[in-house]
Amino acid sequence: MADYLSRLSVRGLGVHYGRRCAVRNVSLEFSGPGITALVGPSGAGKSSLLLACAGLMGDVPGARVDGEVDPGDSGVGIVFQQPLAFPLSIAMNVGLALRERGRSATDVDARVALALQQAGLWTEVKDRLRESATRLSGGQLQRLCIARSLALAPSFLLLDEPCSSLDPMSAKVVENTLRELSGSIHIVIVTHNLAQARRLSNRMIVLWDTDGGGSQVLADGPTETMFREPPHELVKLYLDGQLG
Amino acid sequence: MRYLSLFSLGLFLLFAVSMLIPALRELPRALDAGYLLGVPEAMGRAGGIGPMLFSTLLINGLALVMTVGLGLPLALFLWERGDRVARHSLQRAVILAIDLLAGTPSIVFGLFGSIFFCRILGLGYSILAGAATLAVMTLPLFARLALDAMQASPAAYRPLARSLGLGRRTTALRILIPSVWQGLVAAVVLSWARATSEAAALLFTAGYATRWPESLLDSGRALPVHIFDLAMNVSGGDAMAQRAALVLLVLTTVFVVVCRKFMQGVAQWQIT
Repeated sequence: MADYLSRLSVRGLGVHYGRRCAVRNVSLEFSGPGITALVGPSGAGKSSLLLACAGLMGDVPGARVDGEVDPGDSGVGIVFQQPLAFPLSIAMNVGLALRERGRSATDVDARVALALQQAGLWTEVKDRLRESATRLSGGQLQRLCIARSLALAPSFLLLDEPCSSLDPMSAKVVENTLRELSGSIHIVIVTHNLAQARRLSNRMIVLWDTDGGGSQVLADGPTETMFREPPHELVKLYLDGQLG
Repeated sequence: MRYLSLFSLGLFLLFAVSMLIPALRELPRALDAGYLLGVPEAMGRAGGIGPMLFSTLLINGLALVMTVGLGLPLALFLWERGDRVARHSLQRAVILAIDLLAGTPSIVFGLFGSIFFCRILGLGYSILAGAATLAVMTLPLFARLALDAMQASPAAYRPLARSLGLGRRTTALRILIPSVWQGLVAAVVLSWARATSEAAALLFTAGYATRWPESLLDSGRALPVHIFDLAMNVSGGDAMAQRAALVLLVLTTVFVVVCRKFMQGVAQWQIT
């Protein structure tokens, strides 16, 4: 759960790939329930920023991270763009991390059921939890990925374009799921879909590389305000669809 | 291109048929219990292949255990480093060494095994020395094939597993290996096939004795060595050589089927 004591702080964060600086000197703070949309043109470093917040840049070849990401005592979950199930049953996909942490079988089963309910997948899979997860549809798979992260009760859930590989109906189901979840955790979603960002988020961060030296936060504020009164000319052009 | 493919297929079928037809004549006698369990007589012109079959199963079984036992962790070690393998000179050197060793002629391994296992380690001509030599010979092949299978798995498994706080053992045993089990079966089967077909390496290491081995330090004649001996050194031994070759073929086929079924069962069990 993300109460107002849960805080994900990013201070002076920089991400470099070899000599190229993708993101520079980004300082942000996330707290409390809600949805933040992270937008910007392609190549602006949005996914890099998300991976850095999740502490996963070590897996990226050639990447180097400066600065500090401090999740405090809060858990951070991440859902990637391409939904990917482990070659395990539906229940085991969601419960594997809990078993790894030594939870009892009863506790694991209960938390798996809760996570699947939170992800809006329970009614569709409750009778086939022991079936292979690879048989799920794209939309179901993405909600399974969300459930997999939720099973660990994170305060923050980071999603990298979760609907980009889904058909419109599946995307709508995932959006509804995120909307419901945002009442209890903080969600940060990277998206190229500005309409989706406007529909879902209450806060918007625009990442932009203005001088070729790496992307920085160009704008950060309430989503509706950003669309009604863009704080920067570039933001206005971007939100109008004329740039990026 | 089509004609070239048909020509290649035709050549292969011609070769297979010309090899199999004389051997198939021996099939009923090859699968006779008396032949499979009996001891050779008259330098192998009569009797059975019991001790040789037993030695083959011992040598190859031990070699497989050593190959998979060492090769799987090696492949996992290289897979875990992911794309960083290309940047680290140690891992690059390991992969280069693997590729070079995989192409080394088996007789070179036989000489190595004779010097190192038989003489320096004092194992003498033995089942154990033969198995260890075969393991050294097939390890590069298995490790390379296993690594290739692992690298064909989704690259996102690693960051995904890390994001959930899964340990390396869980990631390897519960996620990676079940996802690439078919590639691992192919690696095991090809390694077994290479080991089973070996005569040169075993000539120098496992010995020539035709009796039942009483321990792993006892000498044992593997089937490929027996076939070689019958065909090259025993006049009138051709028919028995063909019969023994058929048994070897059946042994390999049975192994492949059993291996696939076993791994299929393990993969199914892993899902739940």
